[in-house]
Amino acid sequence: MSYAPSSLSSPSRPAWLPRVAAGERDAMDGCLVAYTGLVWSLARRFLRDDSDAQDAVQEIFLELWRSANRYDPTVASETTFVAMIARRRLMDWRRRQARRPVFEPLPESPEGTAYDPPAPSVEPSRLDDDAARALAVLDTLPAEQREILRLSLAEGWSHGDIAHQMGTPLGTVKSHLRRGLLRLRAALGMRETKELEERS
Amino acid sequence: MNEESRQNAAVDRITEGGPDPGLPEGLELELELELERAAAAAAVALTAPLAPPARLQERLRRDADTFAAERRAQDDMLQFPRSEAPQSERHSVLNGTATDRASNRRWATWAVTGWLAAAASLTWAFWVRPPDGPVRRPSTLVERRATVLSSADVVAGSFKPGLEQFARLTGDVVWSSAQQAGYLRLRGLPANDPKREQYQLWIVDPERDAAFPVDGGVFDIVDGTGDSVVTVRAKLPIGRPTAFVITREKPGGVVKSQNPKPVAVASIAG
Repeated sequence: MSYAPSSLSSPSRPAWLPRVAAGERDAMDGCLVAYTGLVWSLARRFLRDDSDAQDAVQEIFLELWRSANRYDPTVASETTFVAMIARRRLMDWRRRQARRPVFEPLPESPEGTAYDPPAPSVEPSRLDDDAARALAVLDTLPAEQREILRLSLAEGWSHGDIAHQMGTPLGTVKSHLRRGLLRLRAALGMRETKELEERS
Repeated sequence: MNEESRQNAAVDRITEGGPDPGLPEGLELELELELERAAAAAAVALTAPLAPPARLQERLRRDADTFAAERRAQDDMLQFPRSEAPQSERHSVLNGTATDRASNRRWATWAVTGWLAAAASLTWAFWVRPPDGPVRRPSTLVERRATVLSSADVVAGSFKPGLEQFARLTGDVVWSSAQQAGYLRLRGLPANDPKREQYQLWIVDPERDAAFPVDGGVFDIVDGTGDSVVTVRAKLPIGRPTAFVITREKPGGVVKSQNPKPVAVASIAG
């Protein structure tokens, strides 16, 4: 079995979770091949500690297999579903550990300052529909807001740490996150948020 | 709460975690799930790939093997059609061997007189998702259950529902006194709100005072739609368990249950 860390998601990827839910052992291997790179990448950033991240990845996949029958392809892509479960678990880990992120960049992490965000981390052609639409929205955002979203959603930084590191008021961080998520939500075909945004 | 406050609360939960306020309802749930989906999709788009360590890949392969084997075994064991557990037996499931009958009498005593359960001080019980306790690897949990199963003195029993509202519950328990370890596997037990109530396990051990079952720990069901594995947390050494009983109690558990009927009972064949 080989893992493809560069293929975080793919439009043509078969859906593994329904087959996992049906008890197909091979589908579990397929699931690992498809998503270990994504889950590991998130875990390594959220938790920083290598050992913790490995433990968390194991926990996430176990939950994924247990929850496979809850996956609904009409609601989200499989990759998004996996990322949702991964993010929940990783935040649980962080809360339990009451740890603060370490600001030393990972060797593999993109370098750059807060206002010089890294290049898109994933080839758009490799993204599934949800992620591709999300990226399209993210690319339209001001650099500062995009970076705040990246640090929060993909790196797991707290609002306070983002504000401290970027020298941005905490309220601005929260506002950027809220508005950014509302735009992403709208782009993913959810409820119209224009009215809500205008109100805010 | 106005719309912006709702949005801020949802965003805080999605991006900061924070204390679980319980399952949001209605619009809050819809909003939170939609924003969470958006956050997940963005995280996928923004996450630069890292190669997972070979050691982790090997661990995951072993987890997959263990999980698949466990599920096969569970599917084989969790075959308790309700027709096999008539209503009249659900509250009195121990009626076979002499040991069972002894346990049954004790259980009947509990039902009549209320719970006389007493146990040592309550500490955290472990669950698949412990509320705030230390994290345990699920793979280790599964592997530890397998270790108990391989013990020469292992005993096992099947859970049968007590209260009618838990009629869909099936499951089993394995226990090794040599290892002082055991595990429950449960299916169909509804999720609980830990702020309102928790499930608590009791262990009947005839080598102790029959009227005082041993506290086996409190636990939560996070997702009532799936299968759950619970570690038995006996607060006292167990010699020869004859029954395992689940009740619903206030958060943190109790030392003396007032519940007249259990959620479920698993008798151990003598």
